[in-house]
Amino acid sequence: MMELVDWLKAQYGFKQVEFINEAVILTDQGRKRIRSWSDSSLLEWHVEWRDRCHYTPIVLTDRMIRTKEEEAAAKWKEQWITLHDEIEEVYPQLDHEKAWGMLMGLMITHGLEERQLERVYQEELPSYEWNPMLLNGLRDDIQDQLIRYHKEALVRSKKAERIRSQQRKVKQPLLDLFQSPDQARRIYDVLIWRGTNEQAHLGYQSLRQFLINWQIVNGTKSLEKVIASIGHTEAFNTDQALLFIVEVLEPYEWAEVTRSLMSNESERQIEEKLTKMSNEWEAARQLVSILGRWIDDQKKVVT
Amino acid sequence: MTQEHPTKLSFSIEESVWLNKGQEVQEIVGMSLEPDISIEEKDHHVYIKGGLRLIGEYQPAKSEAEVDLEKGSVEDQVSFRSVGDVSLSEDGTGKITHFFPIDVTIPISRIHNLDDVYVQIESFDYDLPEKSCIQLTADISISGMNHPQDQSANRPVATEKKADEKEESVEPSFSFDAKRATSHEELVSPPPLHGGSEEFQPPPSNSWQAPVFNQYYGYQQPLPEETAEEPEQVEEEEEEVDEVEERVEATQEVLDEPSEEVEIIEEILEEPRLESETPIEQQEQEDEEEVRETTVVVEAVEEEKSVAPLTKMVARPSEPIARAVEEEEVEEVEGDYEPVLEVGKPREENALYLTKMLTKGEERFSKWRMCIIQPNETIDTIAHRYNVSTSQLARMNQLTEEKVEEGQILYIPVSAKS
Repeated sequence: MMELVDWLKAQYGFKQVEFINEAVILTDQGRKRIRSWSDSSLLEWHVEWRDRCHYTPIVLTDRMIRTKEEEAAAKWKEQWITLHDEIEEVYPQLDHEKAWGMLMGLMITHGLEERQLERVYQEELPSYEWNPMLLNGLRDDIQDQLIRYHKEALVRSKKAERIRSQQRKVKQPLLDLFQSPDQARRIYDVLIWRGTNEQAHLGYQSLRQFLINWQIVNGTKSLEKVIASIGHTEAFNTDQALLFIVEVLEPYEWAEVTRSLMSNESERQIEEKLTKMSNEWEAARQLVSILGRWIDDQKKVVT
Repeated sequence: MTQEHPTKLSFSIEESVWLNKGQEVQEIVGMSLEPDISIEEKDHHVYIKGGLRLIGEYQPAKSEAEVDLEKGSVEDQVSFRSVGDVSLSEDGTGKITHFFPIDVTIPISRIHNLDDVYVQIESFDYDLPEKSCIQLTADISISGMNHPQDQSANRPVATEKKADEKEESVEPSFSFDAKRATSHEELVSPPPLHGGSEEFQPPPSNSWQAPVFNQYYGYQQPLPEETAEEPEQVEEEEEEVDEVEERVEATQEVLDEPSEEVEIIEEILEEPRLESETPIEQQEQEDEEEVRETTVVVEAVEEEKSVAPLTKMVARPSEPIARAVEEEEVEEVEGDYEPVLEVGKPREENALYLTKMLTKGEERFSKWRMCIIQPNETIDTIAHRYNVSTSQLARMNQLTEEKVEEGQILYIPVSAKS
């Protein structure tokens, strides 16, 4: 550890470095988050999007702190190390939807630009394997709900597939993972987005889940504002909105329940998942509706 | 000779049902044709009324999961339901219903025993030439009638048995023993599938609708007043003996006689028809909600065949509708009406033009009657009875001279206005 502390001092010119935990250090220039990278192309991509996605003075990202040599990363042993400002205050969601939407729009815009990555991640379509026999033994009301959800899940999946097929030539954005609203930090009322060091995600799947949770926490009105703000950014057009809709239509949340059924979980576990899923289902409904409405509004503007 | 010859009035229905855009059929789940018919004896006539109710279930090609992003609200199309809005019973199948009205009047003298009168669906089939079209064919017969020449005779038991055997050998797909009603109230048919009325109701607007048959102008999209006509209206028009009236609320294009003997095919391509279709095309362009077209083939066959009326009808290039055959008259009439030459020939364009010139608006008929000529009846009496001119009757029935014979079937045009 001391070896790394000395190396950081040498690379970044810190006079003082102290580990707070494995990922955060306290320096004479404040708290810094350490990230390590083994994939140079992925590192490059992460450096690039962080550098590009900003709209001063509303949205910034946790850009890589440059070394004394003005490099975004420094090689330490077999990997690269990057440092990022670590901000404690979490950025609020309600009444700050514009900044949130702008961040997302900026990331989508960048994500649609040319890039060369060796590996990207794309969520696999879930299986909706279903065996009515698995309902045996469950309470009637649970069975009823499961059957209804199953029917509508198939409709959702078919709709998603049809639009996906129609939009197959539309480029999907390559996005950093939206893991949690806690990734947004505030300093002087500026949204500082803390990126990840995960693989780039192709498509809207992680943003989907993020906004579904947003709806659950903040409600539909707030979600509408976020979407409206995304819609004001450069690259988010109706084609992108449709790709987004495809991801929301795809009933990933239902797949969780079917997996639970298939693995013979207890009635209580299934019921818990059903309850969680039903919340996400309704949030997804709202999100699809808002996106569809946004597309309809764009048509009106054009005509 | 006092031998009686039970006869059977048969006709075929061939109908192409064009479904609305968005209701295309992926697969037919099931089709049924249910008779909804009552028989009433009144004023020396037997009235066979009601119709055949087609009920079909199909798997739509375009399901609720279908989206057409170019049209309509995207929000509406991409939205999905809460679990509370999902019905447990729904299975995604589409349903179509259609009612083929039947209104036949037979003089009581042609019926020995009302209990012997059966309306039978002898065969019923469907095809899916394309996803937006269901093609239906059905052969329907009304049995239990006597031959007109033997009305007064006592029927020998042996002959009747023979006739019964003949009918039984048909092995109909469906058989309906129509109920005899003693009063109008008793004529109420089994509850219809849609609505509570027994009366014929036009198909719902989101369903298909049969164009009105026009004997001379072919397919016509039904005008509101035409489609709204109810069988009861026809009943009021019935006035005479020995008339068999078939009301077909669909346009007729082809007569395709299942019999191996004759095949009558006609394509009616007159201008009035085109004119009548134009609004449909315009409507389709303006609003592509519905694309409908219906084809019906109706044949009337008296099972005991007589070539005379048959040949006459067959010889009519513009009369595709029906033929009646009475066996007893075969020999004597064959010579007179030998040329069955124009069978299957479409009408020539010049002839069509002339017909149009001659007929003008007065012959815009939406239905027709079949009249079986009785003893001592002449074409003049028939023309007078139905308020048409003798020459018109002769022309429409393709008669070479203005004469008719007993047992011959004449087609009487009924104005769409009536």
